[in-house]
Amino acid sequence: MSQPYFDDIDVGDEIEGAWTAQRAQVLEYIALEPGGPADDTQGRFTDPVRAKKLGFERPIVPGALSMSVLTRLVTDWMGPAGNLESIDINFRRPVLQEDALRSLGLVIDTEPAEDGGRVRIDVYFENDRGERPLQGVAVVRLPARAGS
Amino acid sequence: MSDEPLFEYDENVIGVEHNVGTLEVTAERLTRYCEVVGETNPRYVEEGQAPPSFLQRMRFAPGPDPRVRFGNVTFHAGSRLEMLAPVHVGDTLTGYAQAKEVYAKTGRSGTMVFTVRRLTYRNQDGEDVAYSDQTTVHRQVGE
Repeated sequence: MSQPYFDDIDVGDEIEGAWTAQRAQVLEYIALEPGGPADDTQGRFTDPVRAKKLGFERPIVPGALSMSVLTRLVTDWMGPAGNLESIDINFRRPVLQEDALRSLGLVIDTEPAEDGGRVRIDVYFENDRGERPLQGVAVVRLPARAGS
Repeated sequence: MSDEPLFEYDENVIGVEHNVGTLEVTAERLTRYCEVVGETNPRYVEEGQAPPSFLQRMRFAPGPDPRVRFGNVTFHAGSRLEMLAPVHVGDTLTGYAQAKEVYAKTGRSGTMVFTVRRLTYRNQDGEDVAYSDQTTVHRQVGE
């Protein structure tokens, strides 16, 4: 894993990833903490028939899992010496299972600080229907290059 | 007379913090979480630090409910996580939940009522290590 440094980051820099929300991953995620935040009392994550009755073409992905994967776009990029300070996500549309998603980040602001600086990044998922089901902003602290 | 739709909720619970339980960050839980979500950062997969989103997967008891009475549909609209200090394997976190605010907004698609709930994660040394804010929307769909 490479390490980005604050000195090398510019507004407009992009981060890109991809994710297909597979049913098996959704089931494993729900099983992490039965009865926890992604528990499926309505069947919308696990039951195609009940999901359809709720108005979804296919079962959907728990918002917490989608947010975890979008957060990972940033934490994969920031390297072992970066720190995620905050992430703020709006759930604009449901993510359907088996949707192929592009995960994208765009640096919108940089602010020098002691030993490096803060980077604000617009982050979102885009599906193949051109929708952005999740969208938000992450703030990451990156180190300065040694000697800079 | 205003034609603004009315909504009701229990104002007494706003801003009142409740202890919703204590959980330990175990290596087993953390490893399994990283596998399922596909974490790659060595900080999380090798050094025992919890990824930020791991905290939102911890199962605490439900917090106070302002019991908003409005509309016929409720959905999860937003999530904000603020990390104040790193969390590691062996840390014990106590959750303190509160209903932070309830407010209405009216736009082109009608009135929506928002509820913001906050969970504060406090470690074994009494230090707040993270805040998680969850926003829920209540709205009227159809007649």
